[in-house]
Amino acid sequence: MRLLRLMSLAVALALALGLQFLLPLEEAHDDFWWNHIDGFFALFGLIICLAMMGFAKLIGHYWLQREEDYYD
Amino acid sequence: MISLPPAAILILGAGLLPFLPRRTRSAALLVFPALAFGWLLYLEPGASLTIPFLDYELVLTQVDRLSLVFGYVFTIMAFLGGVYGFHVKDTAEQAAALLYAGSSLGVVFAGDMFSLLFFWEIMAASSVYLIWARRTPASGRAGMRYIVVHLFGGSLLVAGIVWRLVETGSIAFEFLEGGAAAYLIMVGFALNAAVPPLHAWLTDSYPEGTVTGSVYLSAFTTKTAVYVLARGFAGWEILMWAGAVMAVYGVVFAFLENDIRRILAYHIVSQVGYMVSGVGLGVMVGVNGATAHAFAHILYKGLLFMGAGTVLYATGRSKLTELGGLARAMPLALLFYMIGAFSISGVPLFSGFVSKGMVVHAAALGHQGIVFLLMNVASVGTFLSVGLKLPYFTWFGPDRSLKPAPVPWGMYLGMALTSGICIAIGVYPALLYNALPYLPVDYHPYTVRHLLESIQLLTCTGLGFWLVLKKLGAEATITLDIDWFYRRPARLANSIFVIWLSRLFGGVEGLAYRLVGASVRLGANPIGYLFEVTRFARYPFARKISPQPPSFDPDWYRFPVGVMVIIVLSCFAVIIAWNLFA
Repeated sequence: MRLLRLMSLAVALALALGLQFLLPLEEAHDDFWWNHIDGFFALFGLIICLAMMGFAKLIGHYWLQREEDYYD
Repeated sequence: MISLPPAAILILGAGLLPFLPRRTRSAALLVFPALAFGWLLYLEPGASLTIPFLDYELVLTQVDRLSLVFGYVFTIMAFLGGVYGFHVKDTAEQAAALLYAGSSLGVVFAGDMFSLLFFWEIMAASSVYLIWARRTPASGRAGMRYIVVHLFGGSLLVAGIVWRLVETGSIAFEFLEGGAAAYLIMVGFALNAAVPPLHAWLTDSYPEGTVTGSVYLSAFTTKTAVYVLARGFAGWEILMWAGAVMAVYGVVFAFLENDIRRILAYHIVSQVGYMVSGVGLGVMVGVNGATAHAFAHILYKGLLFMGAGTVLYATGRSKLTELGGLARAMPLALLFYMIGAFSISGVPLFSGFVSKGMVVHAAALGHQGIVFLLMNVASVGTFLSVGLKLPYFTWFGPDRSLKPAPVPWGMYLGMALTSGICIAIGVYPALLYNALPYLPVDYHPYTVRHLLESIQLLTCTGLGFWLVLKKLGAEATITLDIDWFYRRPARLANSIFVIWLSRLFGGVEGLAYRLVGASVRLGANPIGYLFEVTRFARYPFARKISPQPPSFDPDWYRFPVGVMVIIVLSCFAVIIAWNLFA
C-alpha cells in the first residue's frame, strides 16, 4: 500500500514535470518573470505547502491554539 | 405583465409553509425555489418594478445580467438544499430557510438602498434561526453572537445609506464613487463578505448550525455581499488587496482547525477572498471571474457542507480527532465530498478550475504579480486542507471503528445532483460562461499552460502533504481569532456590569432591610431591644420585660400589587370616560 502510494506519487510528479517539455506551451498572457522558469509552479507548490504548514503550526502552538473549553 | 420580485415567491412560500399539510412541506421546499427559478428564466434584463414610498421610489425589481446570474444560482442552491434536507421535520427551520433564500434574492434584485437594506436585515434575522434550530447551548450562544455582529454591520450600512442620502439625495443602488458614506456602506457590505477582521462571525457560527441549515448558510450571506460589492464597488483597489489577503488568511487558519465544518467555514473566507479580489480588480474579466467563482463556489461549498453534514448526521461527530476510518462505512459520502473538494481545489474538469482560473487570470491581466502569487498560495492551502487533510483524517487515518447511523436518501440525492452540476460546469464551462454579466467571455480555461500550472501546483502540494503526514495529526484545540475580542472580554464585562453590580445592589438592599428591621424593633420596645442585643438577653427576667416584637417584614409596609393595578385601571377608566363625554 505504502509502496503503491509512493509510486503513484512519483508517476504524477514525473507527469507534471515532464508534460512541461512534451507539450507545446502557448505564449503567456502576462509578463511575470516566473513564466520563464520551467516547473516554477511545482517548486512553488512544494515550498509553499511546507512553509504554510510550518507557519500555521508555529503561530498555532505559540499563540492561537487553546484548550477546547477556553471560552466556557 | 408586472415584474413581480422573484423574492416574493420564496417569501410567500415561507409564509404559506406552516399552513400546508405537514407531509407536503418538504416538497414545498422544492416547489417554491423551482417556481422562482422559472420566473427568473422568464424575466428579461431591463425589467423593473417601482413602488412609491413616502417621497421616494422603491425599486423592488431591477433585472440585469449580473443580478440574474446570482438569482439563478441562489434558486438552484435553495432547491438542492431542499433535496438534501428533505427529511427535516422542523417547520420553523424550513420556513427560515425559504425566507433566507428569498431575502437573498430580494437583495440581488433590489434597485435602491432602502429595499436592499430591508431584505439585508431579513436575511440576518432568518438565517440565525438555522443556527438556533440545532438547539444546543453552543449554537444558542453562537447564534446570539452572529445576530449581534450582523446588527452592527446593518447599522453601519444604515449610517452609510443615510449619510449618502443627505449628501446626494439619492437612494439609488449603483456604482459608488467614494467619500465617507461610500466607505461606511462598503464596510457594512464587507462584514457580510467576511473580510478580515470582520469575518469571525462566520467561522464562529456556521459550524454550529444544523446539518441542513449550514448548507444554506454557506450559500447566501457571503455571496449576496460579493454581489453588492460587484455592483457598488467594482474596481476599488482596496478590495483587490483585502481579497488577496483574505484568501490566504482563511487557508492558514483552516489548517489549524479541528472541526470539519469549521475548516470548511475558513475556506469560505478564503474562497470569497478570490471573489472580493476579482471585484477589486474591476476590469470586466475580474467581475466576470468573481461572478463565475461565486456561482461555482455556492455549489461546491454547499456540496462540501453536505458531505461534512452527512458525517455529522451519521456519527454525531465533527472533529478530526474523533473521526477516522469511515471510508468503508460511508463510501458515497466520501465520493461526493471529494467531488466538492476537487472542485474547490481547482482540479481540471471540476467547476473550481474554470472559475478560479478566471479570477487569477484577471490578476495576471492587471499585472498584479503579488495578488497573483497570493491567490496561488491560497490554492495550495485549499487543496492541502480540504482536498487532503480533511478527507484523510475523516475517511482514512486512524480507524476509530465508528458505527455510522443510516443516512436519509434525500441527503445522498442532494449531494449527487450537486456533484453532477459541479462536474458539468467543469467539463462544459460554456454552461456557466454564457450566463456571466459581460459577454463575450474572453477566457479559455483548458489551455496547456493553465492545465500544466494547476497539475504541477496540486501534485507538489500532495507531495508536501505526504512528506510530513506523520506529524500532521489534528489537535483537539480551538483557534483564537478576532472573535476573541468580543468573546473573552464579554466575561469580564459580564462580571463587572452584571454579577458585581447585582451583588452590590443585593448587599445594599440586605443592609437596608436589616437597618429598618432593627429600628422598628427599637421603636416598638427600646428597653427590650437593648436587652436583646446586649448580653442581658441571657437572663430570664430580661425576657419577661422584653416581649419580642414581630420580626421585620417589608411586605407589611408595601401596598399590595392589586392596589396599584386598581389605581391604574381607574385612571384609565376616568380618561376613557372623559374622552367619551367631553
